Amino acid sequence: MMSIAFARNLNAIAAILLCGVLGGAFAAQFIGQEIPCPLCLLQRIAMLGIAIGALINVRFGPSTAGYAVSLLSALFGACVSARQILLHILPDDPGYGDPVLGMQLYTWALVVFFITLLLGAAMLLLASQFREPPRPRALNKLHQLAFFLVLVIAAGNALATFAECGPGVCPANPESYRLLDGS
Amino acid sequence: MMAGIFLLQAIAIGVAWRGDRGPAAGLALGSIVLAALLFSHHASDELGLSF
Repeated sequence: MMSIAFARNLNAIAAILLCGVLGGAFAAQFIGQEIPCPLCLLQRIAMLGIAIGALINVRFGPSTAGYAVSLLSALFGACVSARQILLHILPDDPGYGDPVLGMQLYTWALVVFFITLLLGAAMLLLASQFREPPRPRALNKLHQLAFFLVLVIAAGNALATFAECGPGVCPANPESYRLLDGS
Repeated sequence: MMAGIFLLQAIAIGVAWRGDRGPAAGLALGSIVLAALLFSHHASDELGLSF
């Protein structure tokens, strides 16, 4: 039996874990000097979508709407990362960016999206968490941390992406930050 | 354009924090729909259209 409080804590932990993944992507971008491609940015958007669905469950209690946001975001992210894998599937293709633990970041992203789809669907099976209608609920320290981290990651990505692409569409193979080099 | 989607997501987080569930879910789903449109635009690159 899944209590509402336990389900909210699980969702908060999931959002924090996703912030860890997105923080790793930030580290690759700023420490590893890898400028993210448009598909990489779309995968970040999908991961943030999953985290926002989890935050909705944290704030209002578990609901099918929160899980739907997360699952649809994961499905979209899986499509994007699968496409990027297929773009680099030919022999002798080095892939985009440096591999981490033997796989490219977009391959790891596909793993994250599949795990999300599996766990999200499994959570929907536990009906006892839906016994009360959604309503705004008080947030403990863990919940507040999850909100803070996801907000920081979203705002940081908005600023970094604006520096990279400006107000227009992002270049397919970015080599510099548009706003910083004045192009 | 992509930065605007991240901004939309940041707004969705703020709206959820304030306690508006429907608008927060709507903004989150809207950002994914916009991202899907950009993705389809990118995929059309193979047909000779620029991203």
